[in-house]
Amino acid sequence: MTMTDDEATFREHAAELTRYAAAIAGPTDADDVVADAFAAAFASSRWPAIEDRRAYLYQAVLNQVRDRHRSNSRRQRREATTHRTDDTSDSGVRPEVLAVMNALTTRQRAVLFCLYWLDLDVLQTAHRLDLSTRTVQRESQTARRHMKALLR
Amino acid sequence: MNDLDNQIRRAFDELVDAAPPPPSAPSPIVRFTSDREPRSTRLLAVAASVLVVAALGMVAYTQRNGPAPTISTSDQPSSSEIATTAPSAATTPTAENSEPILIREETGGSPDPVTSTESIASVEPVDSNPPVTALEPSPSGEYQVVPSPTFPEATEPIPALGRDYDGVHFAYLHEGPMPDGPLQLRFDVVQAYSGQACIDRFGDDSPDVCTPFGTDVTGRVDQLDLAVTDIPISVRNVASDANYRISGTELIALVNGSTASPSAPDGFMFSSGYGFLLTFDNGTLTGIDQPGAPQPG
Repeated sequence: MTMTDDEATFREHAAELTRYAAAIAGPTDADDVVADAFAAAFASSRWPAIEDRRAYLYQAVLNQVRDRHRSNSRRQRREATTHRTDDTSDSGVRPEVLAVMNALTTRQRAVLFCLYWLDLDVLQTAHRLDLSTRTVQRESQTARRHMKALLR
Repeated sequence: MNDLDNQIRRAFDELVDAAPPPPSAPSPIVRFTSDREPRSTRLLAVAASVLVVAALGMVAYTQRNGPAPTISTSDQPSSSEIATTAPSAATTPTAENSEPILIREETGGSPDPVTSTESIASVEPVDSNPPVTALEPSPSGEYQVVPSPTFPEATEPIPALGRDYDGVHFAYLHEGPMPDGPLQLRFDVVQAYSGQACIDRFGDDSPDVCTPFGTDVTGRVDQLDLAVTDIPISVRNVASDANYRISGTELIALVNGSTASPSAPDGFMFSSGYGFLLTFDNGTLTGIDQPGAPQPG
């Protein structure tokens, strides 16, 4: 694996992953999350042997988002009380949309994004996020129930 | 497509429209180019590097002050010998390990490469295992192509307490700890449906549930620890949708994230996420097969 390959991988997937990160982490953090995910992937000893790099990078972005949530308890508390509207005051996203999204877990957002925005089926979503199909189905059903209640 | 589906799509449209431009390429990374070196080997290489530095220091000391009394015996190599042989231990194949122990590769021109193991460990995905890929093909041994199993309209329900498992059941690989027994795997058994039986069971409120099959995750789930030796096992190649016969040892290796054996076909990719069809005959496990997507109709 050479730097040229890494650069090509970055160029190929950076924009797509930034959209994905915006959907699951919010637009404000998306570019940082993606940069960290690429740095993580490139630094990983497993990276040269990864066949499906796109799927691996999706999982890396998801893990980055989770790590950020775990590692910043103050921010988590603020999000829990304000639904993170402060994060997105300059993003152009309506607060009610963010309120609904923030009612979901990171994984639920990732699952819905794959199913609804990328139009992947359950198997493809499971593969992309390295989840079982059972988990994808369960997260999708739970997220839909939450959204249905909030969007009434 | 119902109103809820449209609202979900619109919400994501809004978020994606607000996405910032992609970031610039991350800072250049110094990384280990071999993907199969365990941490202990890397530490050994680092230790060898430290010895090299120490040896070089000894050379400088000797040149300035003469031989150091504590190591200058006739049975030991001179410090110059140490200095010339030690680097090869860190950069060339050894009898025990035919691959370079450590090669550091600059991946760009930044003056601030990432080098700490802490950085590497903290950013690597830790709770997900991307599909395992085979490194090289082999025409013999395991991984003979076998017919993909037929997914039934409904797998057998979990038997009542005291009754034996019988027929075809569906199970996911347990997502927690595995059993301690040799060649054992832990499965979570659920009832699964496909086709019209799935729609009849779950309704059409969430069309994704039955694509390609639905599992009754809200119903009974039974946990089984099963020995996977001496039974026919087939796993699905994510890349080709074909099923391949493998041994129990190989299945456990794949489940644990090991690289597929050299006899795997080129490009073979394993994912436990597809679940497994477990076939029982009056309580005895007689087969494990990974299902593909059921064919419509």
